[in-house]
Formats: sequence, C-alpha cells, structure tokens
Amino acid sequence: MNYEGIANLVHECVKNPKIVLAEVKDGKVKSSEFSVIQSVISKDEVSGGTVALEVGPLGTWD
Amino acid sequence: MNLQLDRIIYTKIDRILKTYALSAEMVRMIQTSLNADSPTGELFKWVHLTGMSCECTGGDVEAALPGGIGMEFFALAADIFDDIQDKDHDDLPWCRIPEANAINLANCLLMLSFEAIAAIPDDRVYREVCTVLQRMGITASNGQFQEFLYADSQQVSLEQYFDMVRQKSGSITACACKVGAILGNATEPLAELMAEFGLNFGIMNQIRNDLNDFLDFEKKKDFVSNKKTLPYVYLSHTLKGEIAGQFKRLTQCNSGGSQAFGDEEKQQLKQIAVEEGVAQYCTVMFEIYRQKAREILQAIPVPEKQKGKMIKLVE
Repeated sequence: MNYEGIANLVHECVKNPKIVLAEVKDGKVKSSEFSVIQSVISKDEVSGGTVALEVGPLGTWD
Repeated sequence: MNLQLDRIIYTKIDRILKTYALSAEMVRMIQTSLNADSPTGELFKWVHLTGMSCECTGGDVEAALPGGIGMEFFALAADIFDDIQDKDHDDLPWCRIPEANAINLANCLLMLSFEAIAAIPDDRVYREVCTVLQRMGITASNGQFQEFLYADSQQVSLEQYFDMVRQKSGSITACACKVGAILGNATEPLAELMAEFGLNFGIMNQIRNDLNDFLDFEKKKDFVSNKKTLPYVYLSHTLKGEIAGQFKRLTQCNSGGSQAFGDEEKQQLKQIAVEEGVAQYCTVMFEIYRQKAREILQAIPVPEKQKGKMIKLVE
C-alpha cells in the first residue's frame, strides 16, 4: 500500500474541492483504494464537509 | 448480547479467581475492571470475538471459552499498562488506585490469562494456543516500545505508523481470532486467514480511536504527549509552509512547558484538523482496512451463515 500516495491524494482533494478526482489519479494508488477515496470525498461534499467516522457495529470495540 | 453465555463466562472467571485464594480486594478490582471500559455495556468483548472466530471455523463457542477468557484477561492487562504509560482515562478503576497497585494488578491478569487457557483439555491444542498468546504478547510489547520511541522522534512516516499499529493493536485482535480458530479445530491455513482478518479489524479500531481521541482534550492526552497518532502523522506529512510552522509550534506546547496548550491552541489545532482533511483521511484508511477485512471473510471457505457474526463486525 502506498500510504503517502493515499495521504497526498486525499489532501489534494480536500484543499482543492473543485478538482476532478479522476484527473489527479496516478499509478501510485491502487484502483480499489482510489474508489474508497472517491466515495469518502463525495460523501464529504454531500454532507457539507463534516465527515463523521461512524461507530456502527464496532461500537462495542471502542 | 448473550445473557446465558455471559453468565457462564462470569462463573468460569469466578472459579479461576477463587482457585488461588486472591485477596478480596484484588478480586474486587479484577471484577470491577473487567468490562469497565465498555461504552455500550456489552460484556466480555474478547471472549465473544474469540468465540465468533471459533464458530466461524466450525467449532463450538463453549470450546472457545478457555481461550476467550485468556484473551479477556490479557487484553485488560494490556489496557491497564497502556493507560499507566499514557496517563489516560482517569475515570477507569485502575486509574483511581496507586500506580504501583495498577502495575501489580496488570501483572496478575497476565498470569491469570495463562491460567485460563490451562483449562484447554487437549495438550497439543493447549501448547499451540500458548505459543500464539506468547508471540502476541512479545509483538504487542514491541509495538508499544516503538510507540514510545516515536513519541521522542521529530518525524514518523505513515509506513512506520502502520507498522507500529499492526504490532501494538493488530496483533491482539489477530491473536483472539487465531486462538478461536485453533479451538474450532481449523486447519492451519484457515487459522492464518482468521488471524489476518483479526489484524485488519484491529487496525480499523486503532484508526477510529486515533481520530476520535485526537481532539478529545478532556479524556486523552495524545497530542500534548507528542503521541504519533494517525491524525498527527498525516498532518506532519501533508502540511507545508506557514501552516506547517503553525502545527510545529502547537506540537511544542505541553501542559508543563513554557508555552501552554490552552483553549486558543486547542481551537487552532481543531481548525487545522478540519481544514486539512484529518477526518476524511482517517475515514479513507478505515474504509480501506474494512474492505481488506471483508475480502478475507469472503475468501474463507465456510458457509455464509457460519461467518455471519464476523461479517456483521465489519459491515
């Protein structure tokens, strides 16, 4: 896993919300990881920028 | 919540505690400490995780109890040591007794964990579970040691962070899942798959804890202790220019130093965290590890119904 690549891509999307995510994808991030980033960022836009990390079934593991 | 199983667990734990004529005060502390940090009131989460893994691999949940109770004692010992080291969680029972007493309590729990697994009737299986528990303890201690070293480091990479979390947190959940699988008579490859699931599950938990604790200045001291949590490491890696300088100045504040970490500084940190995407990044990493955990479960060659409870953990 390219941890730095993922971090850089997420940071880029947060700082520049208008960029088209597909255009900044490079070979450093796997397709599956890129899909996760797309999903999280698009939820972020929908919720107005407040992404909450759900507790869900992990609640008992807090 | 399985009340009947919880009653059986209580009875077995009670029997173990009575075996060595421990002092009433020690027994009371252990009983108070077990489940003390469960926010939802769910009891014996480690016993249940071990049991779920056992059932998933075709075993009976009662067969998993010696291993599960062993994990419950071991994990509690690890939590106590961790809170002493981090000086966290003032509200928990072991933080309200003198530190020396808490260390002694944790030591006793480590020994009790091996006492619990001694109830495994098959010698070969007992030796196997012992080995897994010992190796986990060594790995988790090494991970914790790494965490101390990183607290004194200027810069820690994301790679280093995830390696540390794999050892410190991932190893314990991996152990519970592997022990459960062994007690369910799983083949070696299947037990390894369950361990890998547990590893990813443990990392998910740690990411979520890191994010939730980062701005919890009331209960946690992560930031002022220079603890290299995921939000911290992410910000160290991504910030540039003036904002990087501001973050660095905040990291140099501590509760005892010349530059206090007061309300203004807390607000600045919160603003940086929001503007630079800390929650988004932690969520992405949480989801990536959740996906890995799900893929492992999908690959496990057992009927869907058998792995239902494990699937629910990562839904």
